[in-house]
Amino acid sequence: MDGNSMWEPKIVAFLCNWCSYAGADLAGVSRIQYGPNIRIIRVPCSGRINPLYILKAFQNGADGVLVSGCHPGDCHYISGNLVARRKFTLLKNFLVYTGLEPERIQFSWVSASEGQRFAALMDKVIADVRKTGPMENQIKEPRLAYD
Amino acid sequence: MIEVQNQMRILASDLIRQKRVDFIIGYEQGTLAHTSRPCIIDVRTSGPEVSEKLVWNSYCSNNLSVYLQKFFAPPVQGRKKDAAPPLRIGLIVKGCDLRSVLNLIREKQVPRENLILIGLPCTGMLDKKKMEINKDELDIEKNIQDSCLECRFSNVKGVDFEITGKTREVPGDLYEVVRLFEARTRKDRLAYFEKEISRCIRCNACRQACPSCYCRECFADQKDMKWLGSGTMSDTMIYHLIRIFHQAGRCAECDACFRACPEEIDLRTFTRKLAKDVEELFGFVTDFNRESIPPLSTFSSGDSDSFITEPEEGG
Amino acid sequence: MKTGILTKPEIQELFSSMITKNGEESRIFVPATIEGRVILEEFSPEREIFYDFANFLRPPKGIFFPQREVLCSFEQERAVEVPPAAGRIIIFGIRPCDARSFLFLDKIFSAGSSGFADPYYLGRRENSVIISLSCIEPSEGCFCTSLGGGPGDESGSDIVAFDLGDRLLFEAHSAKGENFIEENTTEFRQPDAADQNAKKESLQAAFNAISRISTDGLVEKLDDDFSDSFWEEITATCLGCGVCTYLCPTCHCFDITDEKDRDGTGTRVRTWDSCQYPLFTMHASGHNPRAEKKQRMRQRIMHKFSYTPRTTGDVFCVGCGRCVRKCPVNLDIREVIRKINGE
Ligand code: SF4
Ligand code: SF4
Ligand code: SF4
Ligand code: SF4
Ligand code: FES
Repeated sequence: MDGNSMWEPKIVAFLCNWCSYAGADLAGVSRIQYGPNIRIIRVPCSGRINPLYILKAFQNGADGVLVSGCHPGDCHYISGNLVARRKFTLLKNFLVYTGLEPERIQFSWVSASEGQRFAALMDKVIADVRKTGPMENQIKEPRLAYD
Repeated sequence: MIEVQNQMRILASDLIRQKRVDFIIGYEQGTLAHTSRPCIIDVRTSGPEVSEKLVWNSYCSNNLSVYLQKFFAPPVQGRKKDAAPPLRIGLIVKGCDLRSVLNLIREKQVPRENLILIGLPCTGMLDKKKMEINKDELDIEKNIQDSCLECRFSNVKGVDFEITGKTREVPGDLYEVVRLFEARTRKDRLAYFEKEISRCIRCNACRQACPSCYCRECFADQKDMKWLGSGTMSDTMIYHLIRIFHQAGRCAECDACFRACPEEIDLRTFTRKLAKDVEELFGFVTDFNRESIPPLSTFSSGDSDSFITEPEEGG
Repeated sequence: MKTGILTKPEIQELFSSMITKNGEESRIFVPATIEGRVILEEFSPEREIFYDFANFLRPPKGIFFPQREVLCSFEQERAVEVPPAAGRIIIFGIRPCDARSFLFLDKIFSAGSSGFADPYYLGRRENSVIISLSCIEPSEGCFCTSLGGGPGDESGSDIVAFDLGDRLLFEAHSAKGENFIEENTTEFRQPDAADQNAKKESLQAAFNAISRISTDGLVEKLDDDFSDSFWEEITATCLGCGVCTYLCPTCHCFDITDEKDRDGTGTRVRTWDSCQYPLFTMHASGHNPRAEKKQRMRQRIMHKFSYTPRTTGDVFCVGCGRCVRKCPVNLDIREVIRKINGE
């Protein structure tokens, strides 16, 4: 990004406690390198994600949001991610329809044993968002001015 | 239409005479030109002649099912067990109202056995805004509401009493507005969405008019966890994205939200998108089928994973 | 009374020259169309003033009493006041009913009834000139003449302008208005008998098109113990959407909230509120004295037609008809008043 070389994407990652968060943990203890642009929020299950959380993240300055849970069939709560999958499909389509760049909202499945996959995923999401540039959607709330 | 209106009145007065209902919800003459409006008649305190009040014409666009849920909801204040026994409601329905009613039944908000549904044949309702612009009431088709132009459910099914008559033909392209919008560039879509939303005064009329928006405490009103602020552009965008998203798999495409909006914001382009996706992805339509399961309360192992990000070298 | 005539192009020029004049900045609001919608817009020389409309969807109260206004911002212990923007405000082209609404809002926001003068509202209001535009074609639902107003009513206006086709007749009705005409005296031509006649005719036509209600003895009638069932009956179909209050030029209820920003900073904002919302009177305990819509509608009607006449001497309705036209279920306030009258 010209004239914006200082800009670093901020990405919020909602990870389910039982798989993806453990996957992130594994990436950490295995000392696998990935970009530092990720802010992780642990949630009990990908089924716990309310679309509002995602929009709030954008409002509060995230340039991208990632949601990750267990692979289909592996959810700790049996079907949390399967119910979530329908919701996410619709949500992503809808946000893109209303003008959000598809790179900014991503979903994936990462299991507890996939440290490598987790790191690769992070790098991909960071690269995607970096390519897309800073958020220009008015959903991002500018800081209110005061001196 | 006069014929349908007469039959409806006769039916209503019979129901009252036979004491089969406590309330009748229908339409009455409004106070402005080209206006019919909802009326809720407490027939426990009135005779069968009140049915003469009911009208049926091309201005009966309000979705009457919006009033149903309140009859069966536990009281706002006070204990649940103090609530009176459920009432029996006679409801006048056209296609879209009935679709909303079935939503409420599927979602267990209203008991079917307490409803007496009187289905009317609908040839489409007129759009006052279009009529103002066209200044030409005679050309009916030109002034029909957009929602009616895309309606394929004007022929009601599964009601208790059906008055038959002329209905609308099923249109060819059901989601034209969505397809056209999808074809625009991303920047264009964002600009349009933001432009429409920027007029919103956050009166919440869209939510109040929607029969599926029955939450006791809307996320937009929550104070304990205050999700939405006092109405910056960003707050308003979130309000709309979530309100519309909450109708996924539930929206009956009645356009009550769109009609209620004083700012005439094009909510329709956006509510239709979810209806289209739900139909294409999950094969679900808010139709007259009482048994179907709302698409977001269920899943299938075959649901698409195509939106999932796969890291190139991962796995 | 000072009067003057200007042609429509002359008005355009006059305002263009007034945006900055003698080192003073003015914000001028005029009727304009944007994508087929008539709105009150800030004037710029490129913006063409639009005359062919009945009334704006939104009331003009937002100019003095914005829907959302930051009162101060804070950062831990430090608060910074955010004063209203200074400068003169000229409002041109609002209808006489809306101009009249300012009289009522003035009473609410000045020290009179409460002893507290609102610096935000008054800061803008005191430095304003209101030039209203008489009505030629009232809308369906207008009933201003029943509430002390009328298509050429001057209360609340510094100047009333009468649209005579290609030209406007200006009549000053306050010192501010006289000054305005004085300051620009070279621009104005004096009206002749033909102008006065044209004015009378247009007014009469408008007058005849306006619906009427009776408000005689309404305050006393509202004292009668209207049973709950009366309010329940009239509000049976109300959706509780608040359109009627947000669009009302005289409704003035507001809420003040503190909003935390990120990083421990925040703002205190004032926003419009509406008696039609359940949250309006919700207590912190969860108890709500007006939990049902019949109680809320009662508040709306009583506030306008009983409480304010007692406290300020005025019925807080100017008969603009916005709530009549825009209520999604056609709950018509004129009808409610007629029912209270026992008609
Ligand atoms: S979202 Fe709008 S169109 Fe859909 S059911 Fe609700 S009111 Fe009707
Ligand atoms: S009805 Fe219209 S103005 Fe009111 S909140 Fe909904 S979109 Fe906004
Ligand atoms: S506009 Fe109509 S429906 Fe909405 S709150 Fe007012 S009276 Fe009720
Ligand atoms: S109550 Fe209705 S008619 Fe009266 S001033 Fe308010 S919006 Fe206008
Ligand atoms: S626990 Fe991981 S997705 Fe449900």
